Formats: sequence, C-alpha cells, structure tokens
Amino acid sequence: MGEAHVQHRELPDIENVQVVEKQHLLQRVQELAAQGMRFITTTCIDNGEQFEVYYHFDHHLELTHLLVTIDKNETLPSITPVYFCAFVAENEMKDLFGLRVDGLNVDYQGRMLVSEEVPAPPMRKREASERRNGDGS
Amino acid sequence: MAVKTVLPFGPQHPVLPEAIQLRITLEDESIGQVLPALGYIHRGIEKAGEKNDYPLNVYLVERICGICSATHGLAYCLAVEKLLGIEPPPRANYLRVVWTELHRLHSHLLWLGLLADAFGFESLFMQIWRIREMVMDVLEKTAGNRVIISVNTLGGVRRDMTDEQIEETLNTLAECERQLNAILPVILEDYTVKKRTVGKGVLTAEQALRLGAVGPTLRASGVAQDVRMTGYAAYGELNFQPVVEQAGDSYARAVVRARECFQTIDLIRQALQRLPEGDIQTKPRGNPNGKAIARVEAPRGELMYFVVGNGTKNLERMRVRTPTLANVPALLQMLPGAEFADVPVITLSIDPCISCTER
Repeated sequence: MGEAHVQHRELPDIENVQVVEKQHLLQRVQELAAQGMRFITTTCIDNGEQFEVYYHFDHHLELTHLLVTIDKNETLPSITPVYFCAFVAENEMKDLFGLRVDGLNVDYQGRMLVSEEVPAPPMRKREASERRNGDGS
Repeated sequence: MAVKTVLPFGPQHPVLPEAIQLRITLEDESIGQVLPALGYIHRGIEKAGEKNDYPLNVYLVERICGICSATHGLAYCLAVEKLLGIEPPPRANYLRVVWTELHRLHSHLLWLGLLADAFGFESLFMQIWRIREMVMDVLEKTAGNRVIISVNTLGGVRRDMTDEQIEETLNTLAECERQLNAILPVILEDYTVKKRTVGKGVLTAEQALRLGAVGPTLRASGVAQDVRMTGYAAYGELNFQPVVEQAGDSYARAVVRARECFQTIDLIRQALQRLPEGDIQTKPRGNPNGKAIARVEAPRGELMYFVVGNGTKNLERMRVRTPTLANVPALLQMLPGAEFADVPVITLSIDPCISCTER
C-alpha cells in the first residue's frame, strides 16, 4: 500500500519529491523506514498562506523528500514514533514557525531554541494585517 | 533501591568549549535518560540568510562554524550555483577541495588534541596542536587567514595558489604526515587511552542509521557512507574510499578521525598534483530562482543546505542542517548505561560543534 496515496510530481530543481497528504504521512514514513532510509531533517517553508513541510531522507547517498502542505492553524502528526531523531527538527519548526506538531516524544513546548521573551515565532511570516512599515517578514 | 538524581552536565563544563546542557538522570553512578537543552547561543542565521543579498550570505554562513567555515561556504555556493545555473571552472573545483581538506585536517587535529586534554594528557594535547599549527600556517599563507578563510565565492574561488605556495604546502604536509606517524600510535595504542575509550558509548550500525548519525560517528559503526563519494567539486576525479571502523565505540570514532587525517593529506596531494590551469571563477549573473539542495562532507559529517530562491536578490528560505544536529540523537542513545565518569569522553566522541547546532 501507500503508493495509491502518493502523487509524484516533477520539479525542475529538486528530484524525488513525493507529495503526501497529512493523514498518510506517518504511513509513508513507516514505509521509508522499512526500506532502511536515514532521516536527514525537515524543512518548513512559510509561503505566506500555508506551510510547506519537507521531510528529507537518504538511502545510499540518494535523496528522497516527502512534501506535506498544510494550513498554518492545522496540526501535523509527529514522525518521532518512527524516527526518534526527528524530535530535534520538529521542535525547531515548532519554535521558529509556530507549526503545531502532535505526538512529539520530547516536547519542548516551543521553547527549545527561543526563550519566553520572544513573543512570536521568529521565522513565521506575519499576516498582511499585522505588518508594520512594509516589512514583509 | 537506587535513588534517581537529575544532574545538569553543562552549559559550562571544562570539556565543552561551547554552551550546551545535557540533563542526565542518574541511578547511583549509572546513566539513565539523557535530554539535551539547546538554545543558549542560538543566533537565527537561517533568518538572517533571508535578509541578506544572496552573495553576502557566503560570508554569513562561514560564520556559522569557526572550525569548518570553508565547508559551509562551499555548501552554500554549490546550492546557489545550482539555482543560478553556473559551473565553476575546473581549477576552482580543485582549489575548493584543497582548502576544504585543509579544514578537515585542522579540525580532526583539534579534536584529537581535545580528546587527549579530556583524559588530562596535557603533553599529547600540546604535541597534536603543534602539528595543527602547521596547517593553520598553510591556511594563512595561501588564503590570508587562519580560520575564516573566505575563499569560496559564487562560481568559484576568490584566490589562486602560486607554484611556490603549492610546493610549500606539499612540503608542510609531508612534515605533518611524518610527525603524525610518530605521534598517533601514542594516542591509539596507549593503555590509558584505550581504557577510557574502548567499549564506551557503543553504537551499532543499525542504531546509527536509524538515529540519523553522520560522518565519523556513522563510519565508526561500520557504515561506509561519505558524501564526498557523490563527487561534488573535484572529488569525483580523485581516488579515495571512506574510512570505516566496525566497533562503534569511542575508540573507533577516534581511529576513524586519525585515519582520515592521512586520507585528507593524500587528497590534498592528489588535488595539487592534478591542479588544472585556467580561470578560478565563473561570474554569477541574475538572481536565484527555484529550489536546490547541496550536501557536502564536513569534518563532523554530512552538511546540507536547502535554498529556495524567488527571483529577487534575497533568498526565500535558507535551511542549514549541520552534522552535530544529526549526531545529538545518537549521543542520547550512547550515554544510557554508561558510568557518569565517561560522560565527557562519550560526549566528545561525536565531536560536538555547538555553534553549528545553534545556527
């Protein structure tokens, strides 16, 4: 199974990107783990409207990426039940983007890298209504 | 019944030159659960990478790590060159290998010295750092600086090497190799060193892969994986094989780094002897657009840059995954079951670079 839920898409610059729906993420990650993939990291990209979350894997120096696109207020399941080591990357996304991750094995509650004095996730792009002085960050 | 105690290891500790804390749950002398506390020196460099113009980022990323700055510069340049669609000239590719390998050599020597220091073996620490100093002199003579050498630029390198510099570098490396041959058996065959490292912090090949370990930490567990085998820069034209050890303990990790010192010297020799003539830079044109990933083998393991361009002079996103970030989960697996007195050596055995971790 699994293949039915995965759509392959062509990108001019990154190869082996598989677009996965949020509800099928854990299942797909389990399949990759069964193939002996090494988890590298995750990358969260705030495209203004949504979060694009990439999961990067390696197998004998070949890269595979999973891409999940979710709304900013949605919650993503943690992949730490499959890959323990993903807690560092997932906590980082939680800290820096305010991405909601459910089921983390080690949860720093958004305070792994940033302290209580930081009012908002620093890498999350603010909504147009919140911007000041034309600063797009 | 054993009493559980939670002991903070760091953020200030003699064996840690940088700030990180390990919260260690102890049952008598034996280690139970370990959790890392990060964020003491986080600098937000990924965010700064979006604010700078893309050519300026070369100098920014070199400041992520003081020990492998050339490797960070190289990885960033490789990624952005993919977005710009430019190829560096062959001479630049070979020079990139030379400076990157010089950084690996001085990083491994720094680590071997620190390992000796962690045992309290002061004289060996001094001897190894004296050899390292020769490498630093080569860096200063060829690149103008000892640590942040800023040789990489988009499309190539900023400096060329003259025939005299090449000859001097080869002579210095020969002397370096001679002294290393004399001193490394001391550290690797010494009874005290073996007593403190053999069987400490064992990581099997399966655990290492599952925990995402990279670099010497992965190769010391018997997995022959080295990103240089993908052939970036001029590595595809050079002759080498990954250095692999099977035991997976702290001693095996030390042996991998010691053997890699000789491999590095050999790679620099090969690159300098085959150095092609020609230009050293392809001028970059336009603004980066699209998505690209570059992976290189830093002294501590795989370093990955994921850059997203949007057609402007600023990048949309610059993601940096440094090797120590990948080796921390492996460390958390190595420590439980060990004795508290072994924590400094096992922690040091992954060669933690906290300024990399806290980009």
